[in-house]
Amino acid sequence: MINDFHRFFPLFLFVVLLLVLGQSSLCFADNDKSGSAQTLQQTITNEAETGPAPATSDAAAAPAVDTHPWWFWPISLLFFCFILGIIAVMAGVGGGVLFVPLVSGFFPFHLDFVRGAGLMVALAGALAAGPGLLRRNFANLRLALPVALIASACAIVGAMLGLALPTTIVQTCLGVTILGIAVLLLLSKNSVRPVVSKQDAVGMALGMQGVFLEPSTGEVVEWKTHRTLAGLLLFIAIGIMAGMFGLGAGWANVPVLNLLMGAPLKVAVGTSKFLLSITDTSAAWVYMNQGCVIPLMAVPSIVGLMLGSVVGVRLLAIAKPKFIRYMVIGVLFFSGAKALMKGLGL
Amino acid sequence: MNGQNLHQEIKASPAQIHYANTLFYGALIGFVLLLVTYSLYVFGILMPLIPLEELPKLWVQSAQSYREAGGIPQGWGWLALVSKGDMSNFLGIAFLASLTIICFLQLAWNLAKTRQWIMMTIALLEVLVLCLAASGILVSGGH
Repeated sequence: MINDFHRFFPLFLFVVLLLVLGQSSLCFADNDKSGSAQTLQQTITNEAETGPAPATSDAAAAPAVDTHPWWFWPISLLFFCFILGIIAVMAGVGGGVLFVPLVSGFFPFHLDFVRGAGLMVALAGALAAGPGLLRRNFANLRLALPVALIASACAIVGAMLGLALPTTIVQTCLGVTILGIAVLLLLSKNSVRPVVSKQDAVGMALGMQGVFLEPSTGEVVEWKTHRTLAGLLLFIAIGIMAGMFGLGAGWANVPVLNLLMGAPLKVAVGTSKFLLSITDTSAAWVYMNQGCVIPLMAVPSIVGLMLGSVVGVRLLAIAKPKFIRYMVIGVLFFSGAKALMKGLGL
Repeated sequence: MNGQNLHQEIKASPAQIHYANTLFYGALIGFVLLLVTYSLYVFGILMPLIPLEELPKLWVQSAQSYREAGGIPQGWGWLALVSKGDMSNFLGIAFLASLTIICFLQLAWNLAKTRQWIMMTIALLEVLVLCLAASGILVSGGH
């Protein structure tokens, strides 16, 4: 029992943190309703024109929007993302797909900033993992380059769409997408080495084939792609969704590369992670240029998730990934439903 | 594919290794820059454009309201305000976001040297796409 405790400790911390943040968000929401958004807007606009009011009059004039000091949410975010990083590694999902629905559900930040930070989190993780994957040939440039061009161009369109549409619509679509991802994770059975009997013309022209060494068996694995055109077309939708919701796109990249195009699972996972560094870069620039990245919240998110990922990799050896995977699917169902309800105003 | 070629193929190509090395050192520099500027910001060594105490009132609103209320510039306007604590953080963030462009330029050069013209063209097109995103020309309507 004691031996089992440390396996589930990250989960325990995660649940406690969610409960605490849920309480804080509720307090925040109540204060927000009583204070009225209009008064807040006026106060901020006045302050922007005349400079910050003196502390004494500020306290009297401004409604009690958030009683927490400024450092409360960044520190909460750091711990939250640390635990999220551990769980994401164990569940085999990227940080972005958990970050956006959970942080938009349990923290007071507007969805614009959550998506901006979500993209930075996914980008930082991909940049950190990229060199190792490329050196081991698990991420393949020949496979990644054409796919990345399509996905990154479409991510720009997605980011612009996401910033132009009303927040309620984006929130509703986010909820539906997260629920869809949960179903996808629940049902999809990736194939370690899909059988590709004949490479198609597009794959051949783009040189989408390769070889890698399977370290666990010492076996040399040759691979090639098929149904390449269909796969490339699907990356249009993946790019748009990645940009629109700031989710990263590992959840969609892997099934398309593996199940549809026939890349071995290790190459699909490695190339997908590397792809995020390109797709998310283009979307991240659009969000950054629009002022959607607040450093005070983005940096603790990046640091927390990266530290958590390092710890997660170490805990992977003693954890029960299957259980954690199901728990993450459960969390996605919950956060997707919450985002959907928020978007629909329920 | 014979055995010798197969074992040659297992290794990542020189272009891929160059890409990986640039990404590794670039990401390292970017993360250090990010942590240094963030520390200067939150410990009050560099004065921010928006006081830290004001942020909780601003981050609950949309990006458009945040920009208007906080006087946050769009695009590369932050460069003119880089001496401010909060804006200085964008040095690290922009560097990390520019890293892929640098890597792709290097990749295009390496692919040209080995006469892989299709891949080189794709790499250059990717540079164009990323530069377009980074330019700040693409501005959505906001909500």
